[in-house]
Amino acid sequence: MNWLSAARGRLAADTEVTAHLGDGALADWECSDRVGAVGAIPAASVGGDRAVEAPAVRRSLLPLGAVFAVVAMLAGCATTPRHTTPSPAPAAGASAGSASAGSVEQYAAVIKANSDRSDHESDGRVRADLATQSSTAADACLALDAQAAACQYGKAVATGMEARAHPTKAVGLLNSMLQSLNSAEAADPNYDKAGPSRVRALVLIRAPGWPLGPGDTDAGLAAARKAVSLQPDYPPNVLALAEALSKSDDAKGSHANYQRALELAQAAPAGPERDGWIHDAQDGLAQK
Amino acid sequence: MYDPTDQGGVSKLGGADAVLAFVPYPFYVEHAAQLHLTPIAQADVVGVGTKEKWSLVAKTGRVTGGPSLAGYTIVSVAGYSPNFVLHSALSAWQVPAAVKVEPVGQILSALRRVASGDQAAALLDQTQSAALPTLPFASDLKVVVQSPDVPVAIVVVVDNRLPAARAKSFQAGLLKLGKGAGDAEKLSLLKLAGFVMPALPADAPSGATPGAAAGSGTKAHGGKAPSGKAPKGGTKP
Repeated sequence: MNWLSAARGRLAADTEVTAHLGDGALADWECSDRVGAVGAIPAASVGGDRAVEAPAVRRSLLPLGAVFAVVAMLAGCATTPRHTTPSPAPAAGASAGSASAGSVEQYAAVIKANSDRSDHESDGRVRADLATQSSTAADACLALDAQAAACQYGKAVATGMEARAHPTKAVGLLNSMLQSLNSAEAADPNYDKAGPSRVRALVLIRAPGWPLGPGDTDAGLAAARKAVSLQPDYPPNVLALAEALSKSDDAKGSHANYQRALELAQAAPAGPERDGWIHDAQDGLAQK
Repeated sequence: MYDPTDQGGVSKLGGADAVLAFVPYPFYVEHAAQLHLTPIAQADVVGVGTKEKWSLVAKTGRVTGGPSLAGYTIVSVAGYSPNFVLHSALSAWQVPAAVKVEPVGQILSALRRVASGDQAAALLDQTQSAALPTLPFASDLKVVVQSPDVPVAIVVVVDNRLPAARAKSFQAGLLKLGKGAGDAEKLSLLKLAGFVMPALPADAPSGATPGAAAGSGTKAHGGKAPSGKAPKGGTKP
């Protein structure tokens, strides 16, 4: 699994060494739960004032990068995995992010549209704006009906977007996200085709684990199993289970579920969501 | 380049274009001799420091000394380095030769297995052991032995591929990191406070002569691969 690193360090190997932390789209790195991490600096980069990728040591040294990484991936995973086409902004009612009067459904649609758009947005400032708008919409939704699954779920998604925009606060925000998902699940476990369990599973299996973050593969696997038990034919649920099994070192089970997700996706109506599910399933199958 | 795996790291550092690396100390213990690694700086990690103690955790009442580990598996995020686990971290104990060492990515899952009574003990780094009381099953676990102070992570020159003068200049730059205006804030995002001169334990393996890369200019690849007890005469500044 690739992670996007929030903190890019650069070492300028001139007479002095300086540290520079970049922003925006950053270097790929591998899942935080692997070990023995090494940062290597190529010979060609140690000379003059050429800047090179900073080495990372292991996850415990760079938890913020890992935390950012998970929220970057989670931002768009509320309803579908990574390959979606941005939804158009809702045309009426609650405009994106505004606190103007709208219905629960309209606020939920705003949040979903913002989340989809954020997932494809490379500009950090735009993502931060979308996160703020989504939080505003979620709060307005909760003000209308604090018990509505759509509002709690929307709050969770908005919180995930906030975490991505503010990685230094990500651990706390991810915990808040999990609380909102619990509330959404209590209100309606089948909302968004078992979305609360599915998204909780993805947070738990992708987030940095104890003690750095809320990641917990065992709990993530349980959540993914629950999502599948509630909505067994929805490809994203099966994809989440496949990912959780992979993270739990159950290669056979993971493969079987990626295969099932592929078959379910192929049987789904044509569209960008179907294409994304197929892509993710094929990616998963190719990993084995 | 970043590589999260032991074998990936070894492979990358084995390439002729790798001259410097930032590695966890367990990686250094396992591969210093093979890769001819020469420490030039030691990381000062926020919340940990330049050194840390590792803790062996077992189910309460089960493990009382090295011999009682017979039949056990020791799991750790540093499990990719059996030499570190058995001979650096647990140097105070005579650990039976048959003890298995396994790397784990999911330390929480491993601790659950330990707490439930599996024949396993977990070697935790300082951050993990400090958080132990936060676990709901903490009362089922006990720290049974701690390691001596060992470095957290070090910057090394690989196979003397960096000319000594250049290495010394780079080292000087590293040691200044964190001391300039605004440096601390930037470094803190990487959970680093800066770098200090390397101060390795006496039993640390030697890769190349320490002065070769950053000082004296001598070069000696005399270190043996740390099989069994790590060799004496470790790399020191």
